[in-house]
Amino acid sequence: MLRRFRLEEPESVDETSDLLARYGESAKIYAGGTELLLAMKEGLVHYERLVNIKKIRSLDQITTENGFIHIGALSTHRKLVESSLLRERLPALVGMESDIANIRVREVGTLGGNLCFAEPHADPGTLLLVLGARLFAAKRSSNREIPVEQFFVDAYETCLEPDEILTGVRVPLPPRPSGVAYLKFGYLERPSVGVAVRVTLDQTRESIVEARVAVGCAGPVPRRVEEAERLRQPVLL
Amino acid sequence: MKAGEIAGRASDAISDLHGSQEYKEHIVGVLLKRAFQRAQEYCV
Repeated sequence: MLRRFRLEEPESVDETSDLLARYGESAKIYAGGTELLLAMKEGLVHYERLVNIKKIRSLDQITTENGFIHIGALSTHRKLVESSLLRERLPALVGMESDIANIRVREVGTLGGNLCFAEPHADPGTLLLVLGARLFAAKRSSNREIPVEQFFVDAYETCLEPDEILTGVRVPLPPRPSGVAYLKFGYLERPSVGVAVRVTLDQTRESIVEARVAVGCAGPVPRRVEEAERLRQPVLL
Repeated sequence: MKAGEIAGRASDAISDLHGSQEYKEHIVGVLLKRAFQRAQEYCV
């Protein structure tokens, strides 16, 4: 049973930050609720206030500029799957997003919500690691950029401050020729293991110039494996 | 040592409902090999 809670519906990042600062640990951001409401229904957590940030305009845009793609934190998984820009420029991200959980989760769940809940058995963080993504966080009167490597602190824990919200994700377009893949395995709905790879080849496409490897789901946080990246073919395969 | 073994060990896998630590480390190696193949196949 879901216990009673108050619902706040701020219309700006500053207003959200003020609410979080004022109510502290008794308030929690709601950005889709696909994880949060399950936990609340089970009675695992309770918050007196939910702060619905889905009314903040402009945080769900997907745009491209100067070799980067910017994804607003409130973009739903479904929106990412259907984005023609992403399909063309980052098909591996679309592939990963199209296979997240189930269609009901993808319809309302957001990329920002997924990252901030920091559930270990989640897909996006692992892929964002090899893509070299940076996350944008904001609170009243300040903004900062966080490399995705530093964002996840532990299971269900991120480096965000209590009155800070995630506003977007910036992904650099991979150099050409590059290939990106994310594969996962599991017999439950949540994956047991996720692996992401980005390889960049030289212009003759005969050797690997750079390889990036990340693993997720198996442990508390997704992580890059730089030791494995330094190996070269044929040791790699 | 191969990349898959290194990545398996680096994954911080824990034994739980999803499988044992050893099992997950093995799966990391299998997926890594396939992911490399796919990434190279889809290179643009």
